[in-house]
Amino acid sequence: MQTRPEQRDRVLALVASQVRVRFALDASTFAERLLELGRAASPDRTPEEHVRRLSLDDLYLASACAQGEESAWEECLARHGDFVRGFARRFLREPAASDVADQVIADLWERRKMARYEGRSALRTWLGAIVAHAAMNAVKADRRWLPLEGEGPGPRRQERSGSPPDVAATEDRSLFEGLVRKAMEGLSADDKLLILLHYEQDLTLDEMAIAVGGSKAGLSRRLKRAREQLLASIDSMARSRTGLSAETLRAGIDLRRLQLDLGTILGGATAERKHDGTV
Amino acid sequence: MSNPHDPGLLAASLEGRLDAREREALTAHLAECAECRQALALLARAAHAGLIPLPTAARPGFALRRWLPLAAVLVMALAAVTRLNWSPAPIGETRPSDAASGVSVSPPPIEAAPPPASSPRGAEPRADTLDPAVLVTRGAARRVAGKTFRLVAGEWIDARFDPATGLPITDVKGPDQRSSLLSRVPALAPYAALGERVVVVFEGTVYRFRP
Repeated sequence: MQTRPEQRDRVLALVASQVRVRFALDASTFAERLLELGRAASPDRTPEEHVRRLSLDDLYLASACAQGEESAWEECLARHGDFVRGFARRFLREPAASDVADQVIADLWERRKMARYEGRSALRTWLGAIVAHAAMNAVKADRRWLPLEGEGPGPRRQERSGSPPDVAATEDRSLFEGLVRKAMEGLSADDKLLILLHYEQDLTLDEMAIAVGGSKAGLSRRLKRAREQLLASIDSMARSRTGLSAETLRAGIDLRRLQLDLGTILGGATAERKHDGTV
Repeated sequence: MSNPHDPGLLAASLEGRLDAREREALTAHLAECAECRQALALLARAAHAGLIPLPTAARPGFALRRWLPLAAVLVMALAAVTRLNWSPAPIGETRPSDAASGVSVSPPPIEAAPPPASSPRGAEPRADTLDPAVLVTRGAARRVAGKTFRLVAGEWIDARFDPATGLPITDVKGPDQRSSLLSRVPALAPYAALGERVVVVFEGTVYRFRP
């Protein structure tokens, strides 16, 4: 087993090979921080093994920012400021996008939130996750999505106004929603996540491959199996509870009104319908 | 997992940097947490669109060096097959369906050679703009009702679209929303007819059609 001085020497060597020490934060102090991160991380790895997996130069930059080094902050803004602002504009219209971007930047610098970055991904990817969370919070708070005229905000479909509610249909719908929820609980976490990413979050197979890893073909097969399992489970529970098949039960339901927004699954669409569009 | 909502874990997951134990814990959390799921989806979409350049870090257990020669052969073979399949339409040819819909399929514009690595455009792309010179599929451009569209990753994108301008964006998802919008703004119909995924700038608004 390596002694602490040996670990420190190895980590210092990693820093020397991967980091351009350009701020007041010196290599030795930075290496100590890395060792702390390594010791606090997984017990299955040595600190050095953990440090090897980190984005060291990004972490060095972030650590210098967290210590209040203005030159580090200037570099960080130069490299990532436009990204933060542009990324916020993907989710929000102005001026909400600028508000969110400004708040994220202020939190990172003035409130030293940059110290939370631990180098487990590229700094830009981490900033993307920060902006995504901040934008979602802003949407919840202010509902500044630009909705279509006459439609509600957000990705979920809304209840449609029109004819008075049919009590029997409402009860059927509630029952059906309950069956779907129950069936979802019976899926493994992996399968449940696939179903939700594809049908709830509208990710294509290519996007899902980025989100969860794996090949497009493999994900398609897994998604198809999960959907079949879900449908079989819903059908079994429907017959057990009502004596009717799921098909019969849902025939009278406007699937667009389902709270869970899983109408696509239950409407008989196949998993393969969502693929990167080609012309 | 100390903080299941930790954006650092999501970011690391996106880059394939979690070990099996961490991935299992995060998957269990994502299956139950709609907020984190939505954040992951937003990041995955952005990464797929090239706005977040994912490092080519080897996933655990994947011996990159062992597979590089095979990967190189596969890339070259794919490039050769792709060149064979991409052939621009002869000048002046339009399909009957295109003529009826008013869509003209023009031969692709002559494009400049890809920029050298040392040029500003060859450097790491600005993450807040789509660089057509980097992303355009050679041979896939259409002119429709006075606008030029380029096919990018399966989506027809208006050449006038620039995320940096900050125009409001309206997402049009599914056939119901599509038909509702087109009944109110019929001028969008020729552009929507391009396909399931279209981005068009019209009268100060960006409309994003989705299936």
